[in-house]
Formats: sequence, structure tokens, C-alpha cells
Amino acid sequence: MAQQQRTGRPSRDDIKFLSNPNIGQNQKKYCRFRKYKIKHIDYKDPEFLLQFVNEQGKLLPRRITGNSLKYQRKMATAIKRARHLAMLPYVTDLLK
Amino acid sequence: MRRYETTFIVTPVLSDGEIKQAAESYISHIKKAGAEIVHVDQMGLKQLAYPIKKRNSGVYYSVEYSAENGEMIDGLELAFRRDERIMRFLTIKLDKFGIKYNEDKRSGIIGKRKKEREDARAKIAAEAQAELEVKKEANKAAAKKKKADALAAIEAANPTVAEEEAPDVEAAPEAVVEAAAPAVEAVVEASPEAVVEEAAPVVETPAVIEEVIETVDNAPVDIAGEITLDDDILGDLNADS
Repeated sequence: MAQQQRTGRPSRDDIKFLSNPNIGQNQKKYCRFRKYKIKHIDYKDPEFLLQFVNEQGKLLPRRITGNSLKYQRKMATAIKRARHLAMLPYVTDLLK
Repeated sequence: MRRYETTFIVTPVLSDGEIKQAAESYISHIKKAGAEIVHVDQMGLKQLAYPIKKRNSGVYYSVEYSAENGEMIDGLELAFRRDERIMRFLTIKLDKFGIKYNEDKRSGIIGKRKKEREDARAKIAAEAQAELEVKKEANKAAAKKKKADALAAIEAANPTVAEEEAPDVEAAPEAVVEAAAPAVEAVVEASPEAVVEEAAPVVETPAVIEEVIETVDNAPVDIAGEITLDDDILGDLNADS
């Protein structure tokens, strides 16, 4: 329905758009820990923690990860522990 | 009772027995201090994300234990600091979610999907490897067949030459090889199993040599290891098998 209102035409399968028509509709960010009820963040799982650092191995801010403050803090602690145990690098390049 | 978790890295230069002994000594240290061991996780040899004391790998151990209070941890950490075999250590107090997480992980509730994914990936890799080998075999067989066909065609085209040359080859193979050196070399490079006797008649007809080389060149495996075969050859192979 949303598509129909925006374009003013009924949506059809056979129409191909040159650019993605969903561009511009921002998907609402959410805290994945709250959504999937993850209560504990394991510092011994570097593969999971890799989702919250950028290519230099720096922590990503909340405005990008979408985490709630509580879990952003827990996540930051877990990453710092993982760094101490050499499971994640302190500084690097081309991490991903 | 409080639940603690100590993770430490043992230097990998020691022998397996020594590494185990080092870990055991700390586990017994914890026990002696009056704590109860809940679980010992031997995480094994892992690559470090950055070098520590010029070593790039370490043997990880993670010990979960419960103690009345944290007094014994001071002594444990002092021992870690004094020990040159230990590269890093970290002790944390687990909250109730951490305890639940570790229990779930041990019983296989958490990390199930990850394990399954890893298993599936390993399986796919193994299958791909097997398939690649089968393809290679098929390709080799096809290339051989094509080569043989080409040689047979040439022999059919000028049987007189083959007959005339044949006794010569038997009498003085070296001389023939020398005379045919450039052409034979090209054929041998393309197909190492090419027989000198078969290559000999080719010497007389340079136009046909090129044809052979071309056909042999076109047949083998390409870099990606995929089959580049004509349909008729595949059909032949199927008919043969």
C-alpha cells in the first residue's frame, strides 16, 4: 500500500525501476539485543563482536549500530576485554 | 557464592604436556584456594590479533569457578604475573545472565546455529573438492581421447608415411627424435604422454602438426578448473562409459 500511495499508481510486477524505489525510506534502527533478548555479550566470541567495530577496529557509535545505551555499554566492555585477550586488535587496517 | 571466570593464554613454545601442566597447576591453585571449579574450557591454540612478546599464537584456557568472595583472585593473579608461561589473563565476575549464557552454551542451546553453519560449510567445501577432482578426471580423460582421435585421424590421412617411418623409428629412434625436435617438443609440451613413435609421422606434414597442437591445447583444464568441453566429446565419453 505504501508503494501505491507514493507512486500514485497500482504496484505492478512488470515495471522495473532504474533506481531502487526504497531509497529514501529509512528503515528504523533497532537494538538487536533487546529484540532477540540477548542478555549477555560473550567477550570470547570475536566473530560476533566484529559486527560492532569499523575497519580500523574502533567501536562503532550507537547512531550506527542502533544499540540501546545499556547494551552499547556492555558491548563496548566485551570488545575491550576481547582486545586485552588478543582476540580483537587494538589498532589495525582492513579488518573486514 | 560468586561466579568468576578466568581466561588465560599459555605461551605456545612449550610442549603439549608442559602447556597442560601449566594449566593444571592453576586449576589446582583455584581449587586449593577453596573455590569450586564449574567448567574448564580448553579453547586450544589460536592466532592472536596482535603479537604478544613476539609470539603470534597462544593456547587459550577459560576456567569458570564459584567462590565465596574474591579474595583468592589476588593470589591467583599474582601467580599469573610471576609466571613467564602465561602471556595474558583476565578474570571477570559473571552476573546471572553470564552464568545462564555459559550454561546454555555448554548444553548446546547457544552457539548451535553457529556450529551447524560451520559443519555445513565444511561439508560443502569437502563436496566441492570431490566434485572438482571428478571434473578434473573427466577433463583429463577427454583431453586424452581428443589427442588420440587427432593422432588417429592423422595416421588415417597419411598411412603410407606412418608405415614408412615406423621401421626407421624402431631402428634409430634417437635420430628421428633429433630431426623432429621442434615439432615433437611442441607436442610433448602440450601432452607429456605423447609418444615419440606416434609423433614421428607428423614430421612430414607441418600443416597437420598445427592442427594437433591446436586440438590438444584446446582440450585441457582451464585455470578455474571448470570443464570446457564440446558436447560431442561428452557424448562420446558417456557412450564409452
